[in-house]
Amino acid sequence: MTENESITAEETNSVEGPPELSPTQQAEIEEIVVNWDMNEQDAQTLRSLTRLLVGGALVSWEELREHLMRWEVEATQADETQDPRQEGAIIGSDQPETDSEILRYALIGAFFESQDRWIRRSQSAVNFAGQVSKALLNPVFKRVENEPRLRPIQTRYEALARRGEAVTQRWVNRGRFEENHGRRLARLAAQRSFDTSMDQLGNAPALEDLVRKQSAGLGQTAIDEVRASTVSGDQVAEKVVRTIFRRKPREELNQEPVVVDQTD
Amino acid sequence: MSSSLKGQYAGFISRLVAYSIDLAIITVSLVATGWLISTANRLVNVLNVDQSFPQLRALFLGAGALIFTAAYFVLFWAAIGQTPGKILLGVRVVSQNGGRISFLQAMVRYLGYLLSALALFLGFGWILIDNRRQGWHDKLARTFVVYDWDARQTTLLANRNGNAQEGAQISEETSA
Repeated sequence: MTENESITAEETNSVEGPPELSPTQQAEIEEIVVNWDMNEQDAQTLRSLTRLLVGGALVSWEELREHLMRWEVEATQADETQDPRQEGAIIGSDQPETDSEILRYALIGAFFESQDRWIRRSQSAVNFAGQVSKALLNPVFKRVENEPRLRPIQTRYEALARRGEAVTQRWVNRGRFEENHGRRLARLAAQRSFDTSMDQLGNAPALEDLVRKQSAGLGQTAIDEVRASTVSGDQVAEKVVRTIFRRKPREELNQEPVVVDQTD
Repeated sequence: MSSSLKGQYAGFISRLVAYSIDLAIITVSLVATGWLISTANRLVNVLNVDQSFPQLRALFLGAGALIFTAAYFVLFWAAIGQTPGKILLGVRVVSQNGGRISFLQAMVRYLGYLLSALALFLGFGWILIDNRRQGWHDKLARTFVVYDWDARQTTLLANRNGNAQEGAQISEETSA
């Protein structure tokens, strides 16, 4: 068979569709599809997962916000204690600013100004929407309330509103419970994950080996430092004594040093 | 960094520090042994010598300490050429051919220690002025103490010495 013929044969096979499944594989897939029904345990798992996600997001956000505020205060204090004459040192150089630096500052400044403007405008937009809805809808509602012909509709609306309030209240209660539970769950999960990670790290042979090597290396370094200091001390002590006895300073020992036997 | 001094004669300070470490080890060992013996004696109450013969006890303990100290140095020198203190400081006792010293040399060296100490420690101070850095005990036993590691001075001092030597060379050249 030539190469072209083989390619044509492969293409033909691919056009014909997926290969047929064996009866066993077919049965397995059918079993999975038919029996995919969420039981109570799965539902509980899903609920716990959702609580974990919600709680994790809330706790993470709070932690981040708290840390951000603290860092912001510290950074502001550092800014205040900085000598204004050393303002150039904040940027890190006393060199005159280049064009690219000025462009970068302009972009950063524009970004922050846009952000501030967006925050102000969104607040104004919310306030405006509130005022408009109040101005437009209040007269309508008052008219509906005071119109006797619309009383049945009003009664139904009030019933609907009461039901809505009840549902909302139920949501609030559920949300309150779920939020607290989710926070506890997230904190517990974080703590247990940390403990488990620490346990696993503590029992990891590779890490033990690394720590052992590092400790041995540190010990050897300390010993080498002490030895080097005493070798230096040897030279200094001899110089001092030779000076006292008015002997010529010795740069090297007179005789050849003996060879150390390395077989020991 | 200065060049390696491995195999060169070890100086006074290295040897003094090594000796101090050995003395500390011996002291701790003797104190621990004494405590063990006294505790055992109190518990068993078999050797009732402390009340009956205090002088004999002191003599016994003194002799024991001397024997222990002698055995410590002699056995370590003869066996591996290094005591624990010398191992830590990287110095080694060698014979004239650079090999391990004999048991007899080790014994003589230890007796030389006593002699060096009795002469107001002059025998030890001799290391500072001898050209081969030998103390009296070394001369008696015909032994040397050498650096057994890749010995180098600390960078700061080596640089200072190097600069001093360079300065001396320059001044010599200028005067010439």
